Amino acid sequence: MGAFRKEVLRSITHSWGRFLAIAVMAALGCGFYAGLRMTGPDMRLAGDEYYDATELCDLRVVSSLGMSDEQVDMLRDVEGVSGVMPAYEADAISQLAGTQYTLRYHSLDVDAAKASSCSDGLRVESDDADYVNRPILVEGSWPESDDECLLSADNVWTSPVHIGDTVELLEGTQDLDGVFTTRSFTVTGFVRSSYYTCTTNTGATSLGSGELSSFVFVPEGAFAADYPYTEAFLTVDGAAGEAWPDDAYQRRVDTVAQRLSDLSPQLSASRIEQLQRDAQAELDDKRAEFEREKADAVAQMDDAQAQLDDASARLDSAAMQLSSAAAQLSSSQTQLAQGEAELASGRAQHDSGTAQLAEQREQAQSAIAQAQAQLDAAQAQYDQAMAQRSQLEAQLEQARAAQLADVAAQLEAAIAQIDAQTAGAPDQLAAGRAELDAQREQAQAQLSAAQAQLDSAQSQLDDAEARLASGRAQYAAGQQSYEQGRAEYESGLAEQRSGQSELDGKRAEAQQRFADAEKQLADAQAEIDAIADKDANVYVLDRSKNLGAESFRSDAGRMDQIAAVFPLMFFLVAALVSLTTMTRMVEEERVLIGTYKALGYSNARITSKYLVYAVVASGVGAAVGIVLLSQFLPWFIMKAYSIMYMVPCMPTPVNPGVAASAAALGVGITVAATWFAAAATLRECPASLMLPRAPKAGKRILLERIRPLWSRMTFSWKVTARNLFRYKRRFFMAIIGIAGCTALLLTGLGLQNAINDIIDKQYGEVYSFNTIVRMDADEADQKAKDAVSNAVGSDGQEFAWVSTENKIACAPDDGAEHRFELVCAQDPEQLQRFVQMRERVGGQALALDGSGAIISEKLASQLGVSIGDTLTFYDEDDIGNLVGAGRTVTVAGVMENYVAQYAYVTADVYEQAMGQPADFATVYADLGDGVDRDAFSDQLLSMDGVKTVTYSDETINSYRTMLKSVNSVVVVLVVAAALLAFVVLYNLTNINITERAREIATLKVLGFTSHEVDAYIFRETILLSVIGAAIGLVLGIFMEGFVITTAEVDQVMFGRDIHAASFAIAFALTMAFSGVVALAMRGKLRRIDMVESLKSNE
Amino acid sequence: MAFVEFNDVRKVYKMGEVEVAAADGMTFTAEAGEFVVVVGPSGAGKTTLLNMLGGMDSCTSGTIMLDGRDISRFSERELTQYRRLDIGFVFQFYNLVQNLTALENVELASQICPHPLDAAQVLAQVGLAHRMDNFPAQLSGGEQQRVAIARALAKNPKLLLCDEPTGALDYKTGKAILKLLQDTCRATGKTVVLITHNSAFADIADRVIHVREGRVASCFVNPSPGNAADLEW
Repeated sequence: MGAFRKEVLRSITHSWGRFLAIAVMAALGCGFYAGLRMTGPDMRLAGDEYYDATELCDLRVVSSLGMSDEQVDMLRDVEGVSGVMPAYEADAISQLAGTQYTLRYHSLDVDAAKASSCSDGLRVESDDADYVNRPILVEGSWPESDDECLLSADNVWTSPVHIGDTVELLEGTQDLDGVFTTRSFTVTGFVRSSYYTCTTNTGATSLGSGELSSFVFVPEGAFAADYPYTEAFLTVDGAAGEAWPDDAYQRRVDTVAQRLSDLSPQLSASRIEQLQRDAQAELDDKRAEFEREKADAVAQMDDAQAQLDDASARLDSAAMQLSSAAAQLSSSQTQLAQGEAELASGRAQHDSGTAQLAEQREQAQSAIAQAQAQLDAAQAQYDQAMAQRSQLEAQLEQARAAQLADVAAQLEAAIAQIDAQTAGAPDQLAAGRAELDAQREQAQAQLSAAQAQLDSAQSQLDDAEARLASGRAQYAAGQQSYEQGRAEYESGLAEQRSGQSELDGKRAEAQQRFADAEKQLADAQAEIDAIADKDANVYVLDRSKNLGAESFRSDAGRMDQIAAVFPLMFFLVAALVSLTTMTRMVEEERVLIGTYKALGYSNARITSKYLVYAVVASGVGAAVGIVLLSQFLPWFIMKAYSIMYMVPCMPTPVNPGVAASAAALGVGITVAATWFAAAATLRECPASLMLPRAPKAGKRILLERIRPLWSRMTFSWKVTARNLFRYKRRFFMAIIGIAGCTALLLTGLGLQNAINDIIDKQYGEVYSFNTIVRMDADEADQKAKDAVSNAVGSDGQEFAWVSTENKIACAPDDGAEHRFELVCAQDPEQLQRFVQMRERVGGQALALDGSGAIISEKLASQLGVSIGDTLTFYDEDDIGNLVGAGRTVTVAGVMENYVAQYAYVTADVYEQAMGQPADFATVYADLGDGVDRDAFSDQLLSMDGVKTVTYSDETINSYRTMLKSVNSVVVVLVVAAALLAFVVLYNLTNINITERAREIATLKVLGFTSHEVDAYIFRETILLSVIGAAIGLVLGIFMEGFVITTAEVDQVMFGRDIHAASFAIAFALTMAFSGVVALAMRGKLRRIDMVESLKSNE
Repeated sequence: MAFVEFNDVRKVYKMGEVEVAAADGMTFTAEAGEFVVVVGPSGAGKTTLLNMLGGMDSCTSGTIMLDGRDISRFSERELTQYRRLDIGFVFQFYNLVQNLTALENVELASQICPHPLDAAQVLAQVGLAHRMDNFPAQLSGGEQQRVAIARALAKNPKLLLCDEPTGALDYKTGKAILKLLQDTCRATGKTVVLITHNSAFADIADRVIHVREGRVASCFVNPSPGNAADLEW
């Protein structure tokens, strides 16, 4: 080794401080450059690895009409398609562990999942190429039955969720029974899915607040049998071999995507045809069934009719029988009546006979009696005559006695007369008696005969009577049985009649039903026929349409952007540090250079010493910096992002290109600075080099012109002031370095402010409500709404009714689509009590009136519209595509808003724009702290039409999570800032002290106390720090602005104000850093030896 | 008791394992108001002597008394105060603060003393009234040395120490500086200790101290000190 080389080597080993200064700056510059530059690619690589390992679909084919195996097979046949996994997907508001979430349910091929293996927690091995979007089982087990599910392992649940918990389906986009076979799932495990890379933004849905909370995997069997595949996940041949999202990857995918797009008309035609066919078959089945049923029904009815008719016939015959019976009865009645009459007449006859007989008897008796009487009278006459005769005889006797012979003669005469007269009388009397007896006997016989006759008539009559009685009884029985028959008949008839009317009703009903069914069938047929006219939209979506992957990719892109700007400052400072350090070195070795020159070394050779020194120093620094920071920074940033992105791997390979360019830049800058420093000195001739360089002359500075100020300054301040302007390079190095440090600090703190402000301002200033109750606009009637109003306002809480709809606005210039929520206020004043509508700058309040829409600031800036412009927007379908005709509204104001994007309108403006009145089905309410949230939710959710109840707290929590990732970025920035400050200030102070050792020694000799000496030197550092920090604060505002706008994600506007405290902290920290450096350098100041420093002029 | 008293003063430097005695038992005295010239070849230990006397360096052993105070026992803080109040230094290379004007350089010293002389006046005394507002770089070597002397004097020190004050100056200027120092000594009655390798300067001294190899070879009072203006070398 030549002496010169040895000298070069020793110049390194004998000045570690200087070497380190250059090395550290090079390390910082190159390291940050390389580290940040590699972060984006590393993130993309991490994504690529993760996606490859989990077979994330390259393409997703969605059909608005669903899909079946037929279409899936068509997809399979497309050239370049490797794996195809048809899948079901459905959104549902679900209840889990007491909290409501809007979840997306995905079907999982459980068999394939069970057959797969994932040993390293990243790569899911499976033989099934059609097993796409492979979830990684983090905890638990795969579902065994159709009512089991897997949840996201990401921590998105507001309350702890465990295996064995139940997920209850509450409400879906369509009837849940048509989608799922079950209404609740038991959690069997937790998975990580590359399909959902971003944990804070899962996607949009038409349910609830419009934002998905998370996802769920359920077995395919959990979906209803006739629920069609909603989508198919495809992998592209060779795409896994390319690095996502490089052009090569995209080209491969695009090629296949193009083929699929070309196929989409056929797909949709096939789907329509199939739907039609299926529907037709189904309809035909239905028709057949209907016909069958109809025939059955008709047959049944005919049967019934026949039965009825039968019954009717039977009834008729019964009626006939009845009538004949009636006739019989009436004839028998007639007969009876006749018999009765006969009997009566017989009886009358008999009675008359009896009467006759009695009369006869009486006659006979009277005749007999008469005869008797005659006889008796004759007897009596006779007896009288006898008596008279006796009397006369007695008298005759008397008279004889008396011998009244005249009298006796007379009496004899009278007795003779009497005898004469009585002569025949006894005979006559006997004859009369006999005759009477005969007569009596005859009469008796006659009477007896008559009596007998009568008696026989009587018996005949009695006979007839008995017969009649039996006839009557018979008749009565006949009558009764007839009555019974009649009743039976009547009831039979009534039954038949009611049967008939029932049947008639049934028949009419059936007719109606048949007509209805016919109409339905016809309608269905019409519908089927209409399927042909349907738009079967087939969407072919690549990974750029996957929210997680795309936002991960764009965040990686943001890192690229940040990487393009940030390291500049480090390089600039590195260049300045190298320049001053090498200038100092060359300066120190002035005599040595002269000596080399005197010895005959060429300028190039001598310069090479410094260049070699610079190359070695910066090279070592660059190597160390690149190796360390290209590992650390990507790792750290990915770690920070891992709060938002679930990408399990963090590869940090050293990218040779970036590393080389970083090293080349770092070394190049240092070498250039070195050459610049050495060139001037080397131009001098050896003799002048041998002489001490004239100390840099003092100069008057501008400040001195301000006499009143200058004359009041102490010497130290004067020296300080003059020194600042004396060494311009150092001044700029210090200013840039310190300003950079402050700017970095301010950027970090400002970033924190910005993100804190999202929550604090949105939920503290812009919004003064904390609860949103959404009702189903279709279901909720005024009554239901009133009930909700009552419930919400029960404790005197204020609330406002609005209508909210998700819309898509198109930027006028580039047509970029931006989602926003169109909020229509029922009562603008009421709404404005809840939503502070004001301009961010100046705080000018905005009036929500008929002049147009008040839109959120970010929406305005993204669309590039301002007040007075027209906002054009479209409806949004379920998969987030814009549909329908564009509607317009005038922008009346641009309001401060941080979370999501809104356009607020009055009911009039809404109706004008939408052509229909708004349906106010959403309530903004401000719930007091005392209100039990869960109970309130339960109460409201049990009411008709209420879909969701959401609290701001949940949103706030998710943002707080995001904030954590920012905190680590702040740490990186603070550390970087501190490093920057230390290196710059240390270097500066070091050079300052070394270069001014004589001056310091002089001061010491003059009797300056160490405190005074410190002040004398560090005043400069402090002043530089103050100036640098002040400039840094200004620089920081711009840098923070850049970072904010670069890092800002869609749908969120970061706070735009850096808080005063952040300015103060950034400033104070910078001062603290310079204070620390000052403290560290005090020792060096102490060690300056008066004797040595003043011994001679070096 | 003498104003300045060195009593067997030793100063040993450790150079690795070798001990080098820069002062190897120096003993001498000097009286107040004397113009003392210390003469000796390079490396004899004159600067060491001056540094110890000026409180810039401490001795390894022995005692150094100044005006009855033992400065060899002073602490760092006491030494600073000592330099501040009692000592005025003039160096070979002036050691002016480049960023301060002539006047400001003088004021730099005077501002830290309790009883300083008026800076402008002192500068006028050294003949620089017209250059007060000039920066060192704008002054010649002699003028710079005058500023340095003025700076030392403005503190109104007890002792003025000059380390080869003419070393970097041309003959004529050097002589003028010597004259200034001598005149100052005469006019103000301040004790001046001047170090030189030029033995010719012994002629103008009130007291001459010869130093050789770390020891005081001789210390004697010049019975008839010459005028610096007449000195030739």
